[in-house]
Amino acid sequence: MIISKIVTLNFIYFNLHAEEVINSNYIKDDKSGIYGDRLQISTIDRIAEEIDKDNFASKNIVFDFKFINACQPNLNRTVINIKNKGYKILLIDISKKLCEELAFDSIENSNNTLQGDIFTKFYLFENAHNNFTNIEIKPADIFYEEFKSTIKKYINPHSLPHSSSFVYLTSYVDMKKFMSYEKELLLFSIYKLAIKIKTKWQNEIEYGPILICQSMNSAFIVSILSTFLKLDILIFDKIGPINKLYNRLDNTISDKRKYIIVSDLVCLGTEVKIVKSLIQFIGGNCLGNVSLIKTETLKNTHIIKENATIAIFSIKRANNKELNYDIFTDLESL
Amino acid sequence: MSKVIIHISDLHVTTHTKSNGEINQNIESHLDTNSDNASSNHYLKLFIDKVKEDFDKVEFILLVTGDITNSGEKIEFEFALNHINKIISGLNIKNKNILIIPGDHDVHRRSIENELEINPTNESHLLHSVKFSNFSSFYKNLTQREFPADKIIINHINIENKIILLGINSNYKINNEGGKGFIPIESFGRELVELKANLNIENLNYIACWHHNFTSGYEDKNNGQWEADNRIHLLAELERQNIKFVFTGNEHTSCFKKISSSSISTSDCGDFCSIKYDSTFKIYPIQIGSDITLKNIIYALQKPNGNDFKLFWDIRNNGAAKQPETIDLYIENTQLIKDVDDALPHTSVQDDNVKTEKRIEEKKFYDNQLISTKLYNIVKDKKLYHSGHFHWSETSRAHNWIDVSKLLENKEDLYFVKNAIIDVIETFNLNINCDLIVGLGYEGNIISSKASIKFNIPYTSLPYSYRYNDHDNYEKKLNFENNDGKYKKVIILTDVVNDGRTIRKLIAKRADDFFKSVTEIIVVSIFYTGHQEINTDILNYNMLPEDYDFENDHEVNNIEFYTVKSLRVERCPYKKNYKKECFIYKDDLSCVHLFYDEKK
Repeated sequence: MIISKIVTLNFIYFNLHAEEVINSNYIKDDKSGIYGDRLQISTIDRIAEEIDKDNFASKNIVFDFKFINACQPNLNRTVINIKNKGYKILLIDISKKLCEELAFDSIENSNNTLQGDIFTKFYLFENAHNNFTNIEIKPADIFYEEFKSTIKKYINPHSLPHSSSFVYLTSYVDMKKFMSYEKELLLFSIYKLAIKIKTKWQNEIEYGPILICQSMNSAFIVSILSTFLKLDILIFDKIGPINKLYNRLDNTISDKRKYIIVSDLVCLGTEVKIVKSLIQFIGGNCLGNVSLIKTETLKNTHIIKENATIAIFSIKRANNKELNYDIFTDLESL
Repeated sequence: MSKVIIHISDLHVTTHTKSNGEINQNIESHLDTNSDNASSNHYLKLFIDKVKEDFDKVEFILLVTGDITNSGEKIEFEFALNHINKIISGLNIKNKNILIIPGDHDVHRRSIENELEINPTNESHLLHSVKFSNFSSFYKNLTQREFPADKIIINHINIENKIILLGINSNYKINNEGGKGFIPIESFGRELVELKANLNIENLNYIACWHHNFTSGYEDKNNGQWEADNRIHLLAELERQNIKFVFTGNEHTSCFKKISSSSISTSDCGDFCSIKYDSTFKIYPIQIGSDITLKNIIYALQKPNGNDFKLFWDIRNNGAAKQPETIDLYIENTQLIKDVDDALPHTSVQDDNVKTEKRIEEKKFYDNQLISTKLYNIVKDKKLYHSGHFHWSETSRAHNWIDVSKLLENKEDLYFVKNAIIDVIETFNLNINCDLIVGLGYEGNIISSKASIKFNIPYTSLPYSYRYNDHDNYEKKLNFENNDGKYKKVIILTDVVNDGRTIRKLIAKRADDFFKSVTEIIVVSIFYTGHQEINTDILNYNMLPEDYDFENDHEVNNIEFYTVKSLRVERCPYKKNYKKECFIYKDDLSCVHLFYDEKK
């Protein structure tokens, strides 16, 4: 399974660290989470197999090296094999040192861009006037477009009240169906969420905050985040034993640990607020909340940062029309 | 050139003259630090000559599994270096073919005590560089390599890309007061995975080599000289890493034993140079062909004590010593494809009766004692087995309950449980031709993630059938259509199964549109809490006991069931009259809990 492959009109994109994380944690049974930074031959071999299998129309490939700081020896052979099959390869965010170790530095292209010790672009071919060198590559945009076009398929007309807030929704995002049908993109999204969590709470992560799941979908997400971030979890079942039995919440929530609430989609955040209030009422400390998708109902400047949901995709003013997603009330517009 | 492993251990090179000039009267080893090396040299020569006599034109690999010295003193290591170098030069052993592992007697306790005087700590076993200071110098001088005191895997020898001898340090918990064998599991697993990745060779046969015995040939106890809990975890990890053989020393007894309830065997070569007791070593000639095997040759020191010659080495009879002639690392199985095919349940309708009979005869069930024991220990340690009166539905009541959500909270326990599920699936090849995995409830969703990713099988989830009404509609949709019978084999993963009523309800009522075209329904659970003897058939309606309450149940007979651990809970004996007769419920005597919303 390759999770990060994104096929665009002009190139095929692969995120090598994301693939390494899947390979080492799920195929090779390493327990390094997202903290490993060494690319293994078996990972690049799996990508090479995928390229052979798919026979893409585009012959341009982007390998994103972000977070890869070392490589298994002789790994360059597989990359060169792909190149020898007629593919034009662009390496992005690769360190100069790694380029040298892989003996790629002998390939010169005047479009290569070095910023500090990092090549933001390193072309594995010497023709400086190839069309590929004119294409702008922004991994965040590539992911955004891919996610947007995919999630669109799972947004259905709704027009019923929101399940936990007193508003109407024009549409409903069927996250469960998305998770079932788009497993690769789901895993890439959870990987990206894990990176965001690690970046946002760099210091707190060391003290092992606890990931809270509070829905069936978030249970699956939390299970994977626990592997990626090496964190404990807590099942916060609204109607289950945790709230009813032995006042167990009291015993489960510790004032010495911090908590991160994990959701699949945060619309108005009502459910998150309920969970957060319960945790704080018991004396727990809520670090924040994360979600795959959030709805930005306020302008950025109006959001209180500490309450903001960390997500890998936002439904917002710039895309809600395209996604056919809106929130409204029964009140008459003034 | 064929290759031969020489396995020696427990040399116990002992200080001959004490610091006050007194001769040590308690020397029990033929190898000591007497500046007149004549006796030690004679002993080594007997050994070298015998090996050379029996093995001509072979490449030797030398394995020394610890206790090279008696008390880790510098002088003992200086003489040990000299003694082992004689073996190396006498048998022309290449540097790359030497695997030396420390034992607890190679830990220098005085160095630890000195360090503690300056820097007191109650974790003196963690002073690795201090406790191995003398051993490290010896190791460097002998092998020209630095000794990695903080690592678990010290070194390895790759034998023709087929066998890996892993040198492992089992002295993690040894401190100035001694201690037992202990290997930190996570570090060991991580280092091994790294090594495997670096080697990047498929189908390697790993042999772990360390000092401490983890079963006994001499002492009448199963644990050997190993910390009990760590031993269970280690055995599970070895199983997981597919390591089937461990070469050890420490017990001063030549033996070969299979660890009960596991597929792991251990070979102890015995004490190399005991004056008082049995002295032995082993030689394992390697045979690599379509099969990969080691011959297990035991050499024992004969002590005729004649006036012309006192000692000689001779081969011991394996049969009489109750040890196998060969160690089978890999035996080509030409029946493999046929066996797998036979192991898969057959699906044709007309075979159903035959299939049922065959399964009963086979008594097929998951039986990895190491994994189920570890799971049970987590339940025990975390106190997750509760008593009270618990309801899962109007027809399902018990006086015990296992708190699985608490079990899954710790990341290590969660990792273990996910891998236990993987182990069940792999043991019975359940993933082959599987079309869909369904996780049940929050817990099922959590334990399923690894299986769904590792085997790359489509995945969805459903609520527990007794909680259906508590969930939103979108959570109750399976999202996969099966009108065309595309999904023939489905695995359902869940945390606990009792009598299977809720599973049958799910299949026959909640998601019957989908399941009516499914021919193989495999249910895998962490726990089975029911009362039947475990077998793959027990969740089928036709297999329910006569006294079962069949009311409101559903007739489903194509379920194949596997569980990691059977842990019975007691049913509430008052059946429908529980409200009047069950004193726990009636008088609120202990915890009374409903796992569903009665109002719905």
